[in-house]
Amino acid sequence: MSILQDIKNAVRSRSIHVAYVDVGSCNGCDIEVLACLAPRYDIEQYGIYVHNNPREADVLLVIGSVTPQWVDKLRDIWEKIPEPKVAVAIGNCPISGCVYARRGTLTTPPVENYIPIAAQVPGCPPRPTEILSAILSVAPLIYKDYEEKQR
Amino acid sequence: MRSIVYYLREFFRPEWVRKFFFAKTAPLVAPSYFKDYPSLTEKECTGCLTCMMICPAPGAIAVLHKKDGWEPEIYPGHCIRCGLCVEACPEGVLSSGRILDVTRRDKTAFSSWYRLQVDDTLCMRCGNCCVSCPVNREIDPQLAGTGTSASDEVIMRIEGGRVTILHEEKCTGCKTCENNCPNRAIRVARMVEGVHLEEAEA
Amino acid sequence: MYLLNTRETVLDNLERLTGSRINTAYMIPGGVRFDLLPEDAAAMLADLVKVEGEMRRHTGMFETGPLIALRSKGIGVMDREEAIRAHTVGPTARASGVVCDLRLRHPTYRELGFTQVTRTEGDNFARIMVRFQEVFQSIDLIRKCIDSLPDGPIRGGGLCKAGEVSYGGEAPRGELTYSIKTDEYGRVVDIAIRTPSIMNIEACAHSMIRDVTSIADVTSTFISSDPCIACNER
Repeated sequence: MSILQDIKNAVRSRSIHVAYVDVGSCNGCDIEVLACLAPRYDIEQYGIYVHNNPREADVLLVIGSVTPQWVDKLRDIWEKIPEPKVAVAIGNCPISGCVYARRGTLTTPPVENYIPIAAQVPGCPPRPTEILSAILSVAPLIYKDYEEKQR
Repeated sequence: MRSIVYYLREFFRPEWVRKFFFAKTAPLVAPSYFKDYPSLTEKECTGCLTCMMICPAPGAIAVLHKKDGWEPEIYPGHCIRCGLCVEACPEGVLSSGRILDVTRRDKTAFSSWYRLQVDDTLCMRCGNCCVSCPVNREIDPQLAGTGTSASDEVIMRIEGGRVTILHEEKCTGCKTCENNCPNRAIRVARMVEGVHLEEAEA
Repeated sequence: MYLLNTRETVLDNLERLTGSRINTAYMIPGGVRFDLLPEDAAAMLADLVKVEGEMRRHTGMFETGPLIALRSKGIGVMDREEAIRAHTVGPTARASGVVCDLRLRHPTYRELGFTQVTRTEGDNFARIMVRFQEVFQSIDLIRKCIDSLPDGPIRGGGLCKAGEVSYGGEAPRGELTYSIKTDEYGRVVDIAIRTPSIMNIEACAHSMIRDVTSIADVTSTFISSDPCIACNER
């Protein structure tokens, strides 16, 4: 283990950049991700920054059951994120389709068919604390010693 | 100059530095009245499937046959945490938040029953619905492959070339017939009414 | 951010009443699922005082703060004729002086003495202020409701039967219309939803940002029409 790797680990654990993409949700999970920014939950004290630029992001939050128009665009967004990257499915819709997973709906869940999902946060919508703990628990697993694992 | 010294002294206090780097708000806990995923109580499940029938999300709850009797299981990726199964269960097997206490206090309940409806223009008289129905098979194990039966106690049977519904009230609403129908001719309607218990008894 | 914290207080009350934050699953045909306890009602009234105080502070910031007024007064003006022609609804229309609140015709709101909030300027500032004033109006409505809440059963019991209905109600963003057709067992056969954002975004595109001169004002004008993208993108 090199010193450089140690520095990278330390920096990455305190700076997680999050981008979120809404692939056809009802706005319920969006507003709960937004509520993480509220002073009560204060997502930035853990070093998590929310901004919607996939080029800068480490974590992609996928929200919503996938509508057909989003299928190719979601793959594009996933390719634009630099390595190391991780996708987290927020809410029931990207996991199973929830109430839209029935006959005659115009959605194509689950989102795992299109991009690899590392963690799932079930709930309709999940509480902000659940979203927060999911991001915090999945990010170190991917980023710790990333270069070592690649070899 | 004095102000710079003041600020340096202020910001290099160990207490301040420690707070700046390591302060975290206490982890927030969900309040007790939050409707979380239903959890099991010690009560025994009778396998009446009422929870499955009232669930609005597809595939969120399943009552499984374990070694020692029935047991409902919640699938978190599907459950929307509405708590209807908790309220609908006549035995109180599931609990979530304070729903059980509230329903006991308010004496509220759901009464549910099922309606069977056969569209004769779509039905091709194959008899799949009568054969697949689990209640039918329990009542009359000798149900013929064509759906005909000698027993008058079955829910439905093929009589004179068409499906005749005899005992609608025995239906448990499992929708097995609907899933086995090749033409979607038979439809099960789940009727649910929210009632107060006093009114229901009166 | 501070407004988000105020929102958390509101959501706490919602959670205390229904047990869930967003997807409350509270209303059923013929009633609601849980009764409002007296101690919960007292806690709710106490929180309302807190919310009202915070909102008064924030409204004061917006109303008297020179920077916000500089950026929003006289920007994105939509006059009354344009608002009517574009079929705008909700606070966007009320800021232009259109009488369009469906709650004026609702018997329950009539009993509570509901009056419409209207401003006539029709610019970004008016749209923001209409929304702030409606918060206080809603707080008053909740207080009146809790005071005049009758005892009795919370569930009348009701069944959905065959029928076809189209009903418009006043949602936070404006008039929301549902057209539902059901079969004889209450299953939905056909449903059409008209969300308020559809008209408001159209009005924003054609009337409001027509006279806007800088790119930065385009963003604020678009947000001031309160667009719900999830309502439109379907």
